[in-house]
Amino acid sequence: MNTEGPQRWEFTLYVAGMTPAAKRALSNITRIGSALLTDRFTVDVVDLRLQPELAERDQIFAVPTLIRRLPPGACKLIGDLSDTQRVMRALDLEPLS
Amino acid sequence: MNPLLRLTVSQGAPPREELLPALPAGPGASVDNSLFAVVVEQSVDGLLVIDEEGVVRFANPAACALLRQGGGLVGSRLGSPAIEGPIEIQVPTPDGMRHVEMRTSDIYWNGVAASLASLRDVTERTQTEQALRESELKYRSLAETMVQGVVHQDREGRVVWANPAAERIFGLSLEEMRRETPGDASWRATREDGWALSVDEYPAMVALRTGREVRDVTLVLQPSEGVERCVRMHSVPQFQPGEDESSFVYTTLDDLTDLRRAEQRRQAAEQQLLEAQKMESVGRLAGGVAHDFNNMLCVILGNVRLAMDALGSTNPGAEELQEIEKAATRSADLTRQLLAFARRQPSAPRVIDVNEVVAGGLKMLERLIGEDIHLVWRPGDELWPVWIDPAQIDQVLANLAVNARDAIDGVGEILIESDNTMVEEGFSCTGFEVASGEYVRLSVRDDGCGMDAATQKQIFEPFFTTKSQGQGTGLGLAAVHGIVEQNAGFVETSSRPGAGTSFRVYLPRNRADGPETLGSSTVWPDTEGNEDLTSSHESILLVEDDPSVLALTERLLKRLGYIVLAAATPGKALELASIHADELGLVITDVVMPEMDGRALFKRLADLRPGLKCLFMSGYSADIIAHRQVFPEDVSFLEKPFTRGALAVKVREALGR
Repeated sequence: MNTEGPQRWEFTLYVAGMTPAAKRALSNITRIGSALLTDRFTVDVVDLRLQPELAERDQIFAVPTLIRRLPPGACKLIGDLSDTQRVMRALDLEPLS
Repeated sequence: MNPLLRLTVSQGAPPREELLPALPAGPGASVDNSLFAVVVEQSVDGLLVIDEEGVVRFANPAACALLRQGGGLVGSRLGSPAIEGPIEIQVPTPDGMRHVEMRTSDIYWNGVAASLASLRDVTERTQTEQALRESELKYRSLAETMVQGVVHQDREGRVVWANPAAERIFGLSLEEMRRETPGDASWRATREDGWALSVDEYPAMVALRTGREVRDVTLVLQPSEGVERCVRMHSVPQFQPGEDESSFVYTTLDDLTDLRRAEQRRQAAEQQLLEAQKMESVGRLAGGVAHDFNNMLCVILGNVRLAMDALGSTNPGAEELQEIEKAATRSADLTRQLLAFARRQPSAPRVIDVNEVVAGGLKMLERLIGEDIHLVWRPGDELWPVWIDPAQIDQVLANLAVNARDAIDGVGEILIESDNTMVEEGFSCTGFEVASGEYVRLSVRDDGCGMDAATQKQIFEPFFTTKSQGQGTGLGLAAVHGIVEQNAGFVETSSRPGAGTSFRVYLPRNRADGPETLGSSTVWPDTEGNEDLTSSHESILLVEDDPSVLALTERLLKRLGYIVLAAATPGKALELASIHADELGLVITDVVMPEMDGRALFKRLADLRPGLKCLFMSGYSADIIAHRQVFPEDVSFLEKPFTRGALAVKVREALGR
């Protein structure tokens, strides 16, 4: 997917407290987003300890889990998002040069 | 055949392993297949195959159980694993979060790229680690914040760890402590009595060697730099399981330094109070004795003088009478010293220039110290005025000079100096209360034998003397102490054996505008042939409750030509005054009398005869003088015992006022 242009990207990161893996996941998606999408992306962090009912809505089996809401199209990643290539491939982003 | 693994190799690409769907073991299945299937099915670790879309393609029972999916996971969108190494993820369950370790490998599943994820429940391990971390944090915080020092030493006594309180106590950082061994430590320990300890005697080393606890050992730690600290130690040896010898030791340290200092201050204050009480008692006793003694001396001196006058100087008994007079005069000096020490000495302070008073007394001092000792006087410039009885300055100087003289064996020098000085807050001087402010300092320094510390501690005590029996009364410096204290000053002493002694008398600067500055003390002239001191036949009312003193004084006054009305009680005095009011020029009265004190009597008499002059005489007053300490300047005062000359001068002075 072309990352240039006015299109916005919205992600939701499900966590259960800011565990080391959750911190890394947030850091990684922010790093990748900043590099490829500049300021055209948002990441909502949802803490399942505070909003457990949301787990069912997005079928969250484990955390950290990242869901891409925009652009539409099913896209879900589990883990600390440290595998950058897989993250970009799964989220359909241009690879980092 | 249902292979589980297929290795695909294509040109230019790395070989790839493909995990094939496991089939239930059954008839016809190979041993390998069925074994693999059983392993996968029964594995306690969850195994999942997840495709690139994040959809689960395979899940073993353990994976379903871990992810709480009783109905199976295949087809569920779990999410594509995006991890580079093993990580800990969390799985929400109704009982709370489970901690699961996830690892992944890239595989092909039915020809499609996928991930094989293995999941292991590490909740218990994580919780144990967390509990351990919390426990470690708790005990570390406790050890680091506690006031008590804690030191952990290995079996050789080397420091393994110490808390910040221990670092403070030893004045070393943990790293510095670790670099030292007990043998080459930068600090040394002694017992409280100063006895040095060998390394083997340190509590930690004793505990390591004996395997027994060493309790409540109080030592003084002397760091290479900084202040020594008094520390109570408690060493507990520790043993590894199965070992008989202690492998390390924990020592706790209570820093008692501040506590000990406070205790020492309290003891010093207590000692000072006891000392003050002792001085007070001795003072009362001395003062009381001196009072009666002065009356007797007054009678002796007066009668000796009368007898000498009557017999004439050529009479064979004249020499003996002179000896009696000398002895009585020395006794009078002794009582004066006693009263000065007891701070019961009646004084007539004035605003004085210390330099003038000292200069005026130098001749007397030179006579006191003899020819072998060179007396040097260095007056300071523009000395501040001081409020004190000049006779007391003479007395202080005479005592210090005699003390210096006796410290010099043969030829030597006594240096007297004066200067102005500021005393800062916090300045202390043993045995005196010191207030900060401006002082005139009068120093007397000798190059004599000096004193050790123990002697210095006692020098101001009454009857303490280093002189041989009969040589010193032990009252000289006690009198200096009393006089200086009476005048709100203090005395600083410094001395070392063989290095001479220096006494520095500090007298507070007088700020009020004094009426006059007065020079040296009075030398009483003899009255014989001195017309200035004889009477113009004025009438004097004499009041004295001691019959001997009354009789003597009456005779002395009559010899001086006065008309004397003698009264043994204030009542009698009032009676006489009412009859002879118009004739009276002066009343001479004792201060302390049973019916009425001298002051009250004078007030009554002054009502009867306005303009009546008054001369008080006293040796000591436990009540009036002690309370008032001094007489006002406009009142004449005659100190008992007095000579005829002193009486003559004082009477003329009082009449002339």
